[in-house]
Amino acid sequence: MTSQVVVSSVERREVDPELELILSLCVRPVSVAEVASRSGFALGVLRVLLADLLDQGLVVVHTSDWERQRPDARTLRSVLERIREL
Amino acid sequence: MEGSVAQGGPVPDTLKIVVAGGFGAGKTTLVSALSEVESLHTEEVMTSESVGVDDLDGVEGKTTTTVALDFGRITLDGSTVVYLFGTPGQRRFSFMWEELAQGALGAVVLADTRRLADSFDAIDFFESRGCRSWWR
Repeated sequence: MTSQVVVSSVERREVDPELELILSLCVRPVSVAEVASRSGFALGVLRVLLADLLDQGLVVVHTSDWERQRPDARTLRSVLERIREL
Repeated sequence: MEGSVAQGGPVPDTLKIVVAGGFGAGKTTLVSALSEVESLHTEEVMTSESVGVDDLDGVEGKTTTTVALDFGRITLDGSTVVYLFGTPGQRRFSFMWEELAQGALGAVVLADTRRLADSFDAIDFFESRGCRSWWR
């Protein structure tokens, strides 16, 4: 859900309007959840549509390293500091 | 995906903090207050369908409930982004907690002191996954 998607730099083809809408939302790296919210598609539906775009090579998916391993102390400290500033 | 070329500059690392708690504890409010962007969520107006299902004692003024998830974003610096995910409060949505908790940095469980017991499901959920709790 926090995996980020971004439009790949391959040449654009004509796609369905739903897919076009999704592509327009991923011009910058953006989380899957955010695309779901902004497009109005349910998360499950969006994942299927994103998988189609991925198959066509039109988007690139990035998964944060932190999904697989614990963040280091420096990262944790900067998160804490920033949250205290809010 | 390595080897692929992406547009839009470097991709920041994402971290995730889960906001949980009982129905009506204020999860949506917290996420909206902290998020740098307008918090994004799917809210459904509660209908008479929820009468007798959702317990409104103490929060009678509440007319909406979150049936999907709320989230907000805090950019720490150009390279790190924290996402706050608010879980749906009702127990029947607890299946979503598992996925939300996957890879999360930590969780905040909100408790309404008038209805403390409502937060126990969420506390149990995180404690059973080995989280240490701090009470504030």
